[in-house]
Amino acid sequence: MKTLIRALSIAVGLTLCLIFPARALAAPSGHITIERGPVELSQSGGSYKGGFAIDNTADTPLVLSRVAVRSDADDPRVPRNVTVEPEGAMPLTIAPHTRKRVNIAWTPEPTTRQRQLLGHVVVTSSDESSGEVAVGLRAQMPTPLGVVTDHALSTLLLLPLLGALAAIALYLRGISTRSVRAAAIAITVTQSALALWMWHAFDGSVTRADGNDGLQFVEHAAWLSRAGAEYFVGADAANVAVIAIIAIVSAVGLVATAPPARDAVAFDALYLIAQASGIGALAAQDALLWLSCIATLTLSVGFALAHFGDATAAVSVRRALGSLVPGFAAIAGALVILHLHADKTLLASGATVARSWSLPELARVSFVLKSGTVFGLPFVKVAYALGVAGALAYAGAFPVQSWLSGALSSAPTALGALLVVTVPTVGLHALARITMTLPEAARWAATPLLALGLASALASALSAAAQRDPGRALGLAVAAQTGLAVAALASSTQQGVMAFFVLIPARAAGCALFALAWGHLRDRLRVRDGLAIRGLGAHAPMLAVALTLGGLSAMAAPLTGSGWATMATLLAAVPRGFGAAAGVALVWATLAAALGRLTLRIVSGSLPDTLRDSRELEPHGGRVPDLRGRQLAAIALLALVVGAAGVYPGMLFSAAWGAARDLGPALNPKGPGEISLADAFPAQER
Amino acid sequence: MRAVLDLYGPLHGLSLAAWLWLVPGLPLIGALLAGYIGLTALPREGEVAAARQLLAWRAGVGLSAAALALIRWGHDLQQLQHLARIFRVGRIELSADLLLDPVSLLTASSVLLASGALSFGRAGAARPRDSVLIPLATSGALVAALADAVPIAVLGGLVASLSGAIVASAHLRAFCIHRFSDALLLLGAATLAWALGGGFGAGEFTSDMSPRIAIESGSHDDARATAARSLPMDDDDDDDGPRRPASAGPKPLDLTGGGKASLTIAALPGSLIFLDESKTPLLSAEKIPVRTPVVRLSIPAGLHVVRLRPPGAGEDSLLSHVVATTGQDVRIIAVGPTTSLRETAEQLAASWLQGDRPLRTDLLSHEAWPGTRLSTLAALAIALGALLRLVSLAYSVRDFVGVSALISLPMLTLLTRLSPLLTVEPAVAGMVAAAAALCALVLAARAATASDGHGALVGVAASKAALSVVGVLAGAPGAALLDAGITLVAIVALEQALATTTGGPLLAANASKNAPSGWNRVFVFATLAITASAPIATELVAALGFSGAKAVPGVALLGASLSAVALGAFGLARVHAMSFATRSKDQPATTPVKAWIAAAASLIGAACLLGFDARAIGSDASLASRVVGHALDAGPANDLQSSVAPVTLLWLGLTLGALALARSRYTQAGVAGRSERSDASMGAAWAIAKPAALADLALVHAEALLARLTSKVSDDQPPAERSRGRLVWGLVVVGALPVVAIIASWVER
Repeated sequence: MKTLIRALSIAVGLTLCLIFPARALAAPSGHITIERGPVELSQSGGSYKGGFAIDNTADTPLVLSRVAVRSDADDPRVPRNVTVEPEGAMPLTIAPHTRKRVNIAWTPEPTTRQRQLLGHVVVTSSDESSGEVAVGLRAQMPTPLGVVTDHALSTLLLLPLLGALAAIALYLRGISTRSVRAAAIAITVTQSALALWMWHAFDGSVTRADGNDGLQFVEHAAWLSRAGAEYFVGADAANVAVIAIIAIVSAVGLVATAPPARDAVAFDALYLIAQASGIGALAAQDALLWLSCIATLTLSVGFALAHFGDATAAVSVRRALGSLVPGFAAIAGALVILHLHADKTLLASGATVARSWSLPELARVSFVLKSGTVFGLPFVKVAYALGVAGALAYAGAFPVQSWLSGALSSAPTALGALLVVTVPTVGLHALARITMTLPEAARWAATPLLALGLASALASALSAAAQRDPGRALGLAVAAQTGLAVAALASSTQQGVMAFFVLIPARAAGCALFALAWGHLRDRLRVRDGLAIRGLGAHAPMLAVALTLGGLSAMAAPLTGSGWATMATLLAAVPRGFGAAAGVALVWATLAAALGRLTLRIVSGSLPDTLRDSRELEPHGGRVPDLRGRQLAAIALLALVVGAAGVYPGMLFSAAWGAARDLGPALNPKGPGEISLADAFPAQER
Repeated sequence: MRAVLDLYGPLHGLSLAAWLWLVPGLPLIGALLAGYIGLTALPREGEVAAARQLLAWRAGVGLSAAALALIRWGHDLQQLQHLARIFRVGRIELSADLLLDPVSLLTASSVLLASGALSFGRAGAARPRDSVLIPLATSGALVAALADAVPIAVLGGLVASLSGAIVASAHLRAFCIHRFSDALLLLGAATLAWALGGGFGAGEFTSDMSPRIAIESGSHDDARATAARSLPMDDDDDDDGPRRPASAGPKPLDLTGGGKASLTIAALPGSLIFLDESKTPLLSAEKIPVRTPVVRLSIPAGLHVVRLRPPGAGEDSLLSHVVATTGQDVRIIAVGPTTSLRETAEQLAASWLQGDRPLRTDLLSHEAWPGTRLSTLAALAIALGALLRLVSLAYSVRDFVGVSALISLPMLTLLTRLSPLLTVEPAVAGMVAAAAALCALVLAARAATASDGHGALVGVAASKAALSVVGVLAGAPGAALLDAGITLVAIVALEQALATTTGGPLLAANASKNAPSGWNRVFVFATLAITASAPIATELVAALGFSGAKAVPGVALLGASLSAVALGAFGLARVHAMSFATRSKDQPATTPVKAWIAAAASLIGAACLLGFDARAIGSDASLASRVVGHALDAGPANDLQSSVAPVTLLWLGLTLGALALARSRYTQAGVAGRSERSDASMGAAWAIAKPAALADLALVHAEALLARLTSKVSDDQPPAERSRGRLVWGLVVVGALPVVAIIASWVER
């Protein structure tokens, strides 16, 4: 009988086990609830402290098995010395309807390079329905101007946007006032000061190993959380210098040029929006935010060029949009492909999202380990190819460089300068972003990309040599330098990566100076043929100096920032083969000959009689009026920046050091951060 | 930490210079001062301002020459000044260092002399910008001459080239050629840097780009004596540094003397020096941390560990087992990638104790592709870049040949410093020497057949520049530099002399118009200095004895060189005969003072240059003894050459006779017609615009076609009508995007 009862009991037990899931039979667990992050840590002596509470909202106890910072040795997400201390030893049991506090402290050492802390604390508990939960962290060391410098990048973005929206409102109401130009100048000058401070305060030696993904001046907040997108901006080696250059060039452009005769308020509004979206596109660390900024930049520049350009502007705009719109679509396509294959991650608040648009998070995903195809091809390669194609379209590389030269030839002076520092820069920056995200694909495409870069550079330089219009020649010079930058990155050496990041701001500043100087000369003489102009040095020495300095920088002459970067490119190309280095040298010389021919011709000699007697110079007694007053002051400031980058290139190279340390090994993982000669020259390996 | 080598080799003495920057700096200050005077002068002050500008130019150049003369020379042949670290790319650093050695001293002296002569020669005709740009070009040329690293030399060359191009009114062709020359030089420097990359560890070579340092202890004799007393290296030491070969057999050393030794470090400029286990760097007498470069820095004798900490984020370089005996100066050199030709030479000279040169062997083992060494490509690129720059004198603009020569001369310094590399790459030296000799011959023929004085002068200047390259590569760098310096000054004098002729551009037009008698003498003297000086003889003899890698027989170089000199002499003599020697009734009124000053300057300069002791340049013998030595040293090869020489001379005589016959039949119209044809053919061959136009045809139009296909746009389309409505629409669209974004963010919060 006892045996029968025992058997029946076992049978019933087994039946119950089969009918009910094991979870239901387990001991009931509490329910974890955490306040929404990010938690702000406040300064307390030499540390930054804060905390959050973990609530158990259920009727059963909750057991915490792990409370830790989301970071590890292989992937340090936060700076060092961040400690998390729950109230009580682990494992920690939280009684029903009670809470436990978790204290967080960050104690930076004197050698700590990061000035911010951004991260997450992850909590693992017995509440399996909630899974692993997290809360965001944020701490900020004091900055000189408090809120303004604490939120430097946001200030840089919002100031011009708000100014532009106010100007649009005024324009739509039919109000036209000169104070809009004054306000725009005030905004851009303030931006310049702030951007210069940011550049100065930027620590170029910071790498990903220092935490915060190697980013500085980070702003990370909720935006479109359901879509996985956030307002996420940050400064790194790829953008900090060029953001300052954009701010300075935009201020100089407004100060040194007169507003258009008609619709001046609308011009200033579009100008500010283009500038802000350009900065936004460079600072954005979220793919959707990035795409939004690129779209805004494209549209604002297009509308401004169409309405305020010269008689050939319509053709230039259509040609530009013919290149940029497909380029935008390609970049967007690449990002969508990557987003669809991304992993689960956390938002700034700590909320979990199935797939993020965050670029640093995308860079963490091992896409090469995932299977998937697009049109029958591996999706990684398709995404990289699309991204590169889109980036090169924006950068004005061969074979679509004509949009840039046409646009620069048609644009009014200030807009031309802004155009040359924003749109091609955004293109090169996109190339860097896509390479950082897909380094494996970049290695796969290195050789074709190197060939494409050199071919593009050579084709553009040769085309520039045939131009008589310095505006068009400048556009082609930008395209040639773009090709050199692509070649530098594709060389995959530490020197090449550094050259790439130096070339972006150096090229932008020099080309903008040339655009401004040539624009002033063109506006004075109403002549587009550069070879018809002589004697500028004797008539307008200041303008001649600006044009020469800009021309030297645009041709990447030695003693300019772009020249040093090109020198580094040459150095970087040797391991990829002597032919590659010889190609860089050939491009360099051709570009110098092309722009040197135009610049020297304009500057030297004496002014032709036809120009001296022209209607434009008649009011000035047959002389070319020189830069004076605020024109001179503004352009001199930009010339000073260009000159400083040439005399002291360390200001550019030091900012790029961290990026080279991060990206170099990713592109070239075999050596300690660079290509070894054994790899480069296998024929002699012993 | 980086491993070290313990090497030995013959090194030049090195000392530190504190005021070397004044040499290029003072002409720069003079140029800036002249520019300031020009910008602030009132229109009515034109002549006074011009005089002040000229004074600033002369003061800058004169003070620079004085600074050069006041630099004290001891036993050291090299004086180094570290100005700044420019940047660090990857693991390669570029520093702005100036190096004064006999080669750069000679070049700098010639440049300053020529610039001074130009300032006096142009006293009457100088334009305001000349007084700014020529001293600026002088400053750039001096930087190029004194630069320790190739990129810095290129940088100085650019300043000089740019100034020269502007002063000579869009000297475009030469400017463009200079850029190609720069590209070649930098390509060579980059290739050399990669070829030098590498290090020794665990008995084998590992290639990478990390800079290293090594001990180099004077000559082999000294080294053997030192090594015989040096401590044995600890075989169990876990330092992965190089091992001295066991055959060196170092013996124990008694270091109980307690005396003083010294340390000389020119590597890794700007680095702090740590001795042994000390946590604090070595301090100067003023208690300031000492930074490299240092020369004969006193340290206690004994066995030391030397650690160099470079500025910035670089890693330390460590030298263990530095044995410094009492009274010994331990020299630490850079090993590995560098753009400095001085450091390259030091590396190539370094050897193990028994004489093998591991760095040289390693350099020669690096191949770009099978059968082609990286060092070959590097040497070829640098040598061709220098040659290109020098022969670009052929595109000098009228009245600015002297300026062009001034800015090109420093390339000879670069080429001379390349000699250690060319020594191990004799085939490159042979190829470039042959190319230079051919250039010299062609350019001299151009001078001999020129239709005007300017053409002859340009041809001779360019030909002599190419001949100097032959001289350097043929093993007579001292003579070549002397010859180039003399030629530079003489060219300036000749140009001023030619400027006094009152005729038209064609020689025939000058036939009856005499120049002032003073200039006549200047012309004769300068012609002799250019074509019949002792250095030329030395160069020619060197060419005779040169047969680079058995590929370029010296006799061919001799024939070409001799022909070039003779043709140049003929060209100048013809100019003299038609412009100066012909009697005319229209005698100029006076002989200007500037003529005498220029003549005196050229005389003094030539005398100084000729009197320069060639031994200081690295030759073991004086010029005269070298000439005699080459003449007497007739081996089997020279016998062959001697038999070919009469044939060459016969051919030369026939050529000259034919040229003279042809020239005697010229009429003015004929000369004009020939001139036009000649210019057209040269222009067609070299004009940068022509290939550019072809490229434009191929690329721009194809690309525009592509743009049309993709965007359906036509250039002929009339501009779109601009309406306010379209602008408003655009503003709303563009403005709406950030507004929506901001609102979305606000809603989210």
